Amino acid sequence: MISSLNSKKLAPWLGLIAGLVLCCLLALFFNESPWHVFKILTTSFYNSKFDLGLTLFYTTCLIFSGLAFAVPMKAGLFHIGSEGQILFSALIAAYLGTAIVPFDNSFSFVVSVAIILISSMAAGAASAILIAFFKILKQAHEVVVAIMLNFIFAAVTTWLTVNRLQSPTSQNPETALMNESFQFLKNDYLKTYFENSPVSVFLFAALGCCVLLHYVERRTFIGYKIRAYGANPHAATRLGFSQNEILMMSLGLAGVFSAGVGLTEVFGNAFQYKIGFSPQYGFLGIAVSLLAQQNFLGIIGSAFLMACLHKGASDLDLETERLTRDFSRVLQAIIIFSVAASYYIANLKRKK
Amino acid sequence: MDSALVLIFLSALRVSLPLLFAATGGYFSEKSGVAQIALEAYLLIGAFSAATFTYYSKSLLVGYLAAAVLTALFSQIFSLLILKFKGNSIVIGTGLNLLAMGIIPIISKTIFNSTGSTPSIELAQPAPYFPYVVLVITLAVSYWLSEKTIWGLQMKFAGEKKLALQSVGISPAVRQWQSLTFSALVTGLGGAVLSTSLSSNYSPLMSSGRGFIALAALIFAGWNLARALLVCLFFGLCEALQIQMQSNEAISTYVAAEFIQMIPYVATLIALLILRSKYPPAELK
Amino acid sequence: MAYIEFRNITKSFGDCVACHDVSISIAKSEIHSIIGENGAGKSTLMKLLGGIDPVTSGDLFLNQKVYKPESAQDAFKNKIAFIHQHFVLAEQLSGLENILLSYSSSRFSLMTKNSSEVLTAANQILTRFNWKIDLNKLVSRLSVGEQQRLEILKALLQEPDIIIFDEPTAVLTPQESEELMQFILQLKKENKTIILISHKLNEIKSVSDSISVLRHGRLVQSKPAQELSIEQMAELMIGRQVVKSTALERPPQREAMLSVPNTSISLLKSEIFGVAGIEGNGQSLLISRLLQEMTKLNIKYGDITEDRIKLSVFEGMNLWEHMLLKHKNEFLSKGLIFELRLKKVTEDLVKSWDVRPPDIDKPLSEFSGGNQQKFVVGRELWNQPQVLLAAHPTRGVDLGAQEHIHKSLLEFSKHKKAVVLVSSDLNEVLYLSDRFVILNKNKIYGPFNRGELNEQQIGLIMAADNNEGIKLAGEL
Repeated sequence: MISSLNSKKLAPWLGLIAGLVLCCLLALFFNESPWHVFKILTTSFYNSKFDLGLTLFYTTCLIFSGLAFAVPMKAGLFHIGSEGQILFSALIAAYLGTAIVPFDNSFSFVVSVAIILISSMAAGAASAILIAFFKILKQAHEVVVAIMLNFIFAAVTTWLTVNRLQSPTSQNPETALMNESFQFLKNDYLKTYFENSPVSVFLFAALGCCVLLHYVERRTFIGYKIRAYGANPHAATRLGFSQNEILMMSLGLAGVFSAGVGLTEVFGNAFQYKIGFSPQYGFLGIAVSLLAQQNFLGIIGSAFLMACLHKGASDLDLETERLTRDFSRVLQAIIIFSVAASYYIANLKRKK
Repeated sequence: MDSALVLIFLSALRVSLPLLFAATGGYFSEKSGVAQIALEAYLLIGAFSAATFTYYSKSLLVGYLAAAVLTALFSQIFSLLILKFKGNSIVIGTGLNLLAMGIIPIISKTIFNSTGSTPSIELAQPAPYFPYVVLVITLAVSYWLSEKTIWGLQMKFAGEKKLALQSVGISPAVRQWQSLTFSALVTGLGGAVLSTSLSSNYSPLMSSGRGFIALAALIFAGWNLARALLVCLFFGLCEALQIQMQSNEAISTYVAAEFIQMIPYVATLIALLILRSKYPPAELK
Repeated sequence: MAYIEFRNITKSFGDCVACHDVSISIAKSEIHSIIGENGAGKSTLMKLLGGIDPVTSGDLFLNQKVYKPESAQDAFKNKIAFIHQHFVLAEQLSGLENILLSYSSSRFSLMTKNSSEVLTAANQILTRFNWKIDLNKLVSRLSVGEQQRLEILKALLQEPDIIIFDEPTAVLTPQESEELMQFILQLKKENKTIILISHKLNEIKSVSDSISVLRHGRLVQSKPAQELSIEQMAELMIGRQVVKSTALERPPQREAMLSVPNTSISLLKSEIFGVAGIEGNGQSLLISRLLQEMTKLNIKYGDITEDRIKLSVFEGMNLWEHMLLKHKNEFLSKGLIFELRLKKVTEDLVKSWDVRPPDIDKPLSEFSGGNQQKFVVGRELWNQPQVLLAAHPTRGVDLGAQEHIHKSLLEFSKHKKAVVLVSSDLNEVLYLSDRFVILNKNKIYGPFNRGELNEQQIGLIMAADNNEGIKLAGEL
């Protein structure tokens, strides 16, 4: 019993290793040395303080997007709509950052910052609750609605950026920089320590979210309720749990976490909205969450691992002849595949 | 005026070609009970293979064949992970999309030393009607397979009632595998149209969501192939209008291209909300 | 001479032995019925013959030859047709397409469908039995009776020699059941061998040539039908004398505690209120009305649901988590879960209900059906609710657990509590209820007092098309 439980918990990590090995072997096809590729992938995250800071920035984003997938997953929902929510919430934050000019006192400043953060999270939550809305009204499949919404949000944010909010001083499609006073995270302790890399205090926010969720899941009733709904929606409604409440809550929370990614970028790094800033964090979160088997504390570890690999992959551009930063996607894909397959193999062993 | 309309409709038909292929491909996958969100990946793989092979052979036929065969081979990853390793089709589909997006630039760099685009194709002789011929053949074969043959019936039972199929001694997974492979093959042809007929080379991420639009059309049409093709034509019309408008400054100041691009997605959401809910295949997973 | 023979058949699923050393022989062209309670192993036995599950030990003989089916296809080739209780039909395909599937082979082939030939053959059979089914309609548009005929038609087109009917009348209206029995007799005349699985004794008695009785996976009797009376069959099935209604000790005056809206039913304190009827005649509607009303009036209730797997068991969640889900208020202090108490209480519950194995960290879904049900009943009674809704409380439960559950229902009802007992098992209703109603096509007949009607009369009301003159308590 104990050993079988362990094998189930270990399976995705073995899958990860298998995936990594596969990826490195894949490099052979492109005339690159697998060992060389492996070394870059696994070591480049601590080449310098800046690099480690960058990796921690990716970690922050991946924790948030991992949570955005994991929370609805507990309720049995496949939430692949995170990408759209990230774009939307990031744009809202960037827009408000340029639109709001705080009075010259600290109270007004704190209120302004709160407005920006809350609006951005509300935007994320609202766009995620749209999915719940379709599911409640028409039993539409959440995946289908999420795909449609991803495209709609991508189109809307692009249009808004280019046609309404374009920075007059820039050639790139991006909004103007936020009001000077909102760029206070430029002097963030972490940023300074890591030689001005993108990492910011949002890392602690992300870690805090994981710990908090872990605690809430085990110690309060909400976690059990959501899990029960995920395990058997019919039985959960028979016990009197409200389906609407559970769907709205789990997807709403997911939206808030998606907004976490947006804020990490806009408020903690770029201080503006740049089109194409997200290397599809929303989808990378799926791999993060699967690897951790939706365990909230495990997500910290898997997000850091994925961030290291992502960072490593983006260095392939410089370090190898033919492999490009796109290798990160290949890596993510193969990890998703091998983790998915590892569940099956672990289950097989359990039955024997 | 009339001729302008005719032109728009002709261009609508032209731009909806990849959608028609992809929707047909999606139909075979979803009908056999496997949710298919990797059409995007198939289009990309198809487009890249066709562009590459046409570039070297200077023959459209070779390019199309390569697209069909290579996409079908590529889809074996999907089939293997879903049918053999019982993976979740949404998760694996997402992974497949990432894989296609990631692997093509690397291959392209290896072959052409470019960051994603293939060189321009020069054909021995232009063949503007070739994609239409392929489309007609594909649709005819698809219709025959799905409606006329026993195989088609068995494929549908894999999506509607696996137990019935098992009780006559047929493995649903085998029929699903065959159907998934055909699905990828057809969608790969759509990719070939994209890179060799709608443009003259492969450029990065050139499918730009068409796989998802085709899926949307299929859902919009309640998993009915004929209706889905009509919906694709409608979505194609939207795209054609958008292209028209971009060249016409007077209009494009009023309606942005982005909003026209959104039409398929918004329409599908509205369809989900207001149309009588049509049921997906009973065992669609 | 035996045509089909089960010789020392044992079938086990893991540790659970579903059939134990069963030997039955069936002659050609007879109607052989296999009866037994839910979970007695009837369906399991037939699935072995149908090639759906493999035999654990023992041999099957078909026409004196060893028969070892490896798949449903093998049974199919040996001209055995299996009409399942749950239809194996694709609802979104037409009747004709469902029939056509049986004409296909497992080899990959691109043969076109021979629709017109099959349609002619099907229509021939339809006219022979004077049935009318529009084969071009989608299956989902056909009535339940028509779907079953389609299922039978599908089987007959393959010209089987042996036809197995698994609980064929469970979902049928009384006339449809009657017609089906006539049809089965007609099949017998055409030299088909029929195996009929059921627990409805009346209909079995009327058509069978011979009867085998299973109890807890063992064969207890196999005899020609004329040598068994209905009473004997019932006794053999249940393993004890059918309990005739005996008055329970009840206080003479009982207060009402709850009335069901739009009906004249009111529940009294200290009573078991039975709801009899064939399944699917409005039970779920009545249950949801009751639940709504109790939630509205804030009455504390226990809910033993009608479908344990679908409505009570959360896959992957363990016993104490199930306990928490139901009685959350008892284990929360300041919003946090009081885990120590929760585990202690669950352990005590598991002990007092003898749930095996007594491991509260094991997922409920991994317990056997009987132990699951014991746990669920125990959990629902744990906080002394005022009303207990017990739907099929002993379904799929072994005899010992059944006694335990029955006793606790009786005990519970003594203390000014009410039990609503919904059951399709008439004996159970008669044995336990103080008063009962009968459901027939969403109409509620009654309430009747204990002993007011005998089994035959109740059976008539349950089955009749038209119950004019019988008191009506409301309609759902």
